[in-house]
Amino acid sequence: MTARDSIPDDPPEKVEEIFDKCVRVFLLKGYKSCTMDDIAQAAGCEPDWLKERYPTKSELTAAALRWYYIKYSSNIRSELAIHQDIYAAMEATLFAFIDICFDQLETGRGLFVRTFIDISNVDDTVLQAYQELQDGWEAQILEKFSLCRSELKNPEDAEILACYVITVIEGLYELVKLGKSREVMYKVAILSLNVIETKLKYGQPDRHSG
Amino acid sequence: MSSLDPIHGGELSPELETALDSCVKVFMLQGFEHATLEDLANASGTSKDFLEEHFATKEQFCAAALRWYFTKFYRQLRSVLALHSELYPAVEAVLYEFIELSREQYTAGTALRFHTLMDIVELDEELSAELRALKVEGMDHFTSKFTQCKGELHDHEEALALAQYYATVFEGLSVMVQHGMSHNDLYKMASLSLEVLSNHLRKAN
Repeated sequence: MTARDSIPDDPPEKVEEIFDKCVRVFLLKGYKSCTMDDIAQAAGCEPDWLKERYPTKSELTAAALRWYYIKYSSNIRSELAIHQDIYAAMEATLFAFIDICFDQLETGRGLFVRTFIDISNVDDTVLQAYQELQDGWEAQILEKFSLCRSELKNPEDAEILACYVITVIEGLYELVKLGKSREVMYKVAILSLNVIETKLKYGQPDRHSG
Repeated sequence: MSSLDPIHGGELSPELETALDSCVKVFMLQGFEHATLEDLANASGTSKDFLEEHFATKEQFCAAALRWYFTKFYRQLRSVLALHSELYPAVEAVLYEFIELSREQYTAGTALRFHTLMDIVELDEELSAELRALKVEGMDHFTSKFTQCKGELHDHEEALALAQYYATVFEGLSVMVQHGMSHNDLYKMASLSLEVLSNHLRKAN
């Protein structure tokens, strides 16, 4: 059984606690210097239990990174599926993304994806996981724009608009980390959608409710 | 001489700039708790005495590294902002300058690990406050441009939200530079974002 397979069998709260604590241990004790025992102690679990699931730090880190990406992308995937038109789909995506970030903070978790990505620069296992996950995440947005290409004045704008939304999402993540309020972030999301609105053939009804 | 003097005003020798980046890597691998000034000296190819002359503690070192990172960016962006009295050309120029600065750092291989440094300092109360103060200071200057030029907007009350939107775009661009987005696409992102401002300007503009 791989580390990835073990995730669904364990209580999500416990797994998330481990993934959150492991980053804090990496930052304070060092990715190279810390031990699995340090991480188990910080997360309040048995070292053997932890090592059985994640035999190495690399596997634990890759699993943690995967967990974060899946958490965000599964919510966003469902928003993309619910909303047929591109404006509504992107509005729901941005709002869902903001909500997940705030839910993380409100439950005492950190927003540590950047540190995982920095670790990927010194660990090939983590790098491989990161590249696959990032590609998959970007592909979701791109696929929706491709499906809704006909809604655009210029169908060839689909790819660049997908890149724009991904850029905005990355920026939203950083501003939430900076401590901006949920209301401010919703407002920013609505402003950012102005770009998509101007590219639509038929515009959008006034649906901005915040 | 203050321990922060070597980077006062954002000026830094290439040697010290490389040293700072190497040191962040030490923090990532050895940990903030475990890393010593000696480790930092070894990694950066400088002597412990040299580092101790400039930084009394690793906390001071982190504070200095943060100040260097932000001062370097913000000073340049402020000067670009000051060159343009109207909002649209000012924001356009700052966006393009930001892309160039971010790409320079990406190409030079520095600043890639600054997100880790920022996550490290978040775990230290004093450093965390320093980081927020630096970011807010940079943001305030940018926001004040929107406030000064609010007369150019349809709705004056949108000034602050627009400033926050562009702060989001800057952060997003910074990440996309690190993801390897092409120069051309980065400029397209900036152009797309400028449509938001354009749509909020009064017709006369």
